[in-house]
Amino acid sequence: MDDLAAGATLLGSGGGGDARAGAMLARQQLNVHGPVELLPLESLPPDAMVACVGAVGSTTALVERLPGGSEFVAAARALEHHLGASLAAVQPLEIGGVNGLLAVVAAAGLGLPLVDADAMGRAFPRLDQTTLAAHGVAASPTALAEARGQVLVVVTPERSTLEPLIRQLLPAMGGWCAIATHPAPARSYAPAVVHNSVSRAMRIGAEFLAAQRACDGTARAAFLRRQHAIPLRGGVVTEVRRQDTSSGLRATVTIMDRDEAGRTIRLEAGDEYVLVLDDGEPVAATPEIICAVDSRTWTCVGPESIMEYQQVDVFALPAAAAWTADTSTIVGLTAYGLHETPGGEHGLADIP
Amino acid sequence: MASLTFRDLMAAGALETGELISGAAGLDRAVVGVTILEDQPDASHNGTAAVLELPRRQGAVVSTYLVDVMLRRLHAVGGSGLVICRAPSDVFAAASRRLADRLSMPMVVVEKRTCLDVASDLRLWIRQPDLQSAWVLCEVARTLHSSASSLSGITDALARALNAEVSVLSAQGTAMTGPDLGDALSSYLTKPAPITGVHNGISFAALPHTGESGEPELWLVAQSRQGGVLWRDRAALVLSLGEAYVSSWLSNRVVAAERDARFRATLLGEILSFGGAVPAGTAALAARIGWRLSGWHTGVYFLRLSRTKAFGTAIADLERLMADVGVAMGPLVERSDGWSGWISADRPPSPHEGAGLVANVSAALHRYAARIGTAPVVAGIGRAALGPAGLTTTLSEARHAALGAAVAHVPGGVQHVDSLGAAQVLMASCASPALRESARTLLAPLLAESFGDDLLRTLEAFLDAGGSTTQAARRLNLHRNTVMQRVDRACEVLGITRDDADERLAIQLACRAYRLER
Repeated sequence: MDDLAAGATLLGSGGGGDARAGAMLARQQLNVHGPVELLPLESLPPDAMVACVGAVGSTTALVERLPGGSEFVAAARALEHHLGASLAAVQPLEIGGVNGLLAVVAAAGLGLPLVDADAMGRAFPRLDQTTLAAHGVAASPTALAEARGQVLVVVTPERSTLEPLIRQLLPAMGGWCAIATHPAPARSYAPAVVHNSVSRAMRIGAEFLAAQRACDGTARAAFLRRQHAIPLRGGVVTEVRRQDTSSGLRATVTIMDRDEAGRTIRLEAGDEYVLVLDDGEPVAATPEIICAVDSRTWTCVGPESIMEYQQVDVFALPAAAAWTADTSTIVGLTAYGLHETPGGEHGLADIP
Repeated sequence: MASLTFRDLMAAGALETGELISGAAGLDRAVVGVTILEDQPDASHNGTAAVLELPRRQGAVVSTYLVDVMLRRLHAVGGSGLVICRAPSDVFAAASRRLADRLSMPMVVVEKRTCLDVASDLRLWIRQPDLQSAWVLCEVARTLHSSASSLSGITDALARALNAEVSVLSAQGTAMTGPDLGDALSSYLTKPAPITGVHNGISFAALPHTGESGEPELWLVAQSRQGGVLWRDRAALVLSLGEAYVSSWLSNRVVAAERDARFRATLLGEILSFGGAVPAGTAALAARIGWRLSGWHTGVYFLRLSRTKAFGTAIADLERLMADVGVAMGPLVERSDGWSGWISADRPPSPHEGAGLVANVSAALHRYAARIGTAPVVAGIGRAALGPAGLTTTLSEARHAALGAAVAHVPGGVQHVDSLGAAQVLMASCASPALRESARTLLAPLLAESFGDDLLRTLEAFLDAGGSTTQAARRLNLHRNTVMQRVDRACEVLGITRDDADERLAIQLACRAYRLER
């Protein structure tokens, strides 16, 4: 569970909520309901019904008003009731952040196997930023449930209306609620999900924890190599500018390079880190998974908690293969209300 | 022609209201063109100033990181700088400012203007700087015409046109209007010729206004922190346009001052000629220019030692200096060989005030000498006297004291009539115009000689030393034999002998009187 939590945090790219809260709940649910079986999608019959389960809404509210576990079961049951069919397995909606753990809670509560895949390969802030949506697997009907017992089933004929509708509902649901969405047979899921993401998160998490404990530059560099990460640079944060915009909170972080004092690393963040510039040269951008960690402890530092004078290392893990150039409007900078850097990444020579 | 730089564009006002955010080290990059950046820069952007407008969402500027990206790419293709339009200067992260500094790429923000507006202005400046300069000159000519009634109006118009600080300095380097640029620039203002240059990284241009003597009377000076070579060229042109107006303003002032001076001289002459009984009309005229005839007057007389040196407006400096040292005196009135002034009071001054006045006038003369170079003036002070008749007396005493100061070496160059020695009284009374005329006649043969001045100087020293060639030689730094030969020669020319006491006295008096002439 610790490995999964560490992996989910790392894949959250600074967003997706606090995975530790999810880990505690998952551990408790496993104690109550017994272990959950982790299945690759291929092992399910093609007609077996699968849905994504997780939480939607404010991650801050989720930590203040902790989940009990029953909301996820209620959402899944409501969806089954509406469909008139039983689910054969559940899948995490997103592997990054707290949702990577909440799917385990749902699977334990429902007594169903957990599919070793997810619909984002990381964390994204919106429901329509899924590989399933990108492949045309309908999100509707979607069931929502919250701890006091309110349950809603939402049917939307158009894909684009679900996200704004749920955002409107969330305040009435207490800031966050459990969601069961994208009900579809395993056959439809197969080409449209990020495979093996749960096991990948556990593996990356385990290695990350080992590197964290190693307190040693070589071990940490080896970890980044194994993950095919883009090893970026580190330094001291000299400025954090936060701005509350119509498309959410935004932060711009200026980092003075540790090895070359004139060199500047710039981080742009929405709910997650979305762009890294090295002296004005874009070196990583969403959907690549950009991670900022405390230089000494190697604990993840999110955009909400990063602060001036903090020493950080920045690196990026490769994006899930499902996110191709065609999907940049869904998960690229434009999805965060930002603008693509002209010409993409350039590879200019170093500044003399 | 020198190539245009970003600094020039800033100084020219082509980036009006533009604020340099960072990258100041690159201000001297040459700018050969301008482009509105829509996509990424390429090789064609070499040497260009790029104009960028950031995207907006609901009125607010977003994606400010595009500035960093553009700065980097512009640098890679050899761009000259980046101008960001319609963005407030406080939206840029430290990263952008650091990067612009690292790349030495000037990053300028123009908050209120659009890309097109800024780019078209820049293009005109870059492609046709002469045309723009001509336009500026036309604009200056127009504004000068309407604001030339005062010196500050002229400098304000020039300052606006040059986007710089402009002031008028006196020949001594004090600011007559505008900021005090004299301290920094006075060391450059030595030759009476236009000059441009850079002082401590700040560009300046200066243009003298020369008087009749060919010496600068005023300097017109402009300085700009952002100015480059083109600014300096343009400043020289604009200043020369302004100089015509300054010159005309100065002429008007000189004419007015001269008119006032003539009027005062005539009026004082009239008052003095009536003695105690000044007619009502004359008294009314005096009252109108602020002269009071009742009360106690203490006269001050400034005696001019040199006939040739042109004083012009410089005597106004002396008036100012007198006020500075706390001597409350009206404007000085020009007399045949100097200037009269007096202090009026309700009560007679106490006896010790005389010494204080001597010290004050002496201090003013000292400062005056420091400005003018040599001490061309000595002063005398009369006793306090009552009423219009007293004014005549005290002014005459003051002149007498001044003559006493001129013939004997008085420390400070100021003599009070009470402290005139017996010899001085005699010498001063001898220095009448009639005696001076006789002295000139008596010494004429000697002065007609080649090196006549040297002969006269030696003869005077010889007589002053009581006929001792040794002492005279020491005083003049000459050999004893030289003194002897010159004295013999002088005596020969004048047709006198050294042994005749009367002749010696006559020649010695003539030398003194002649010294006053000089």
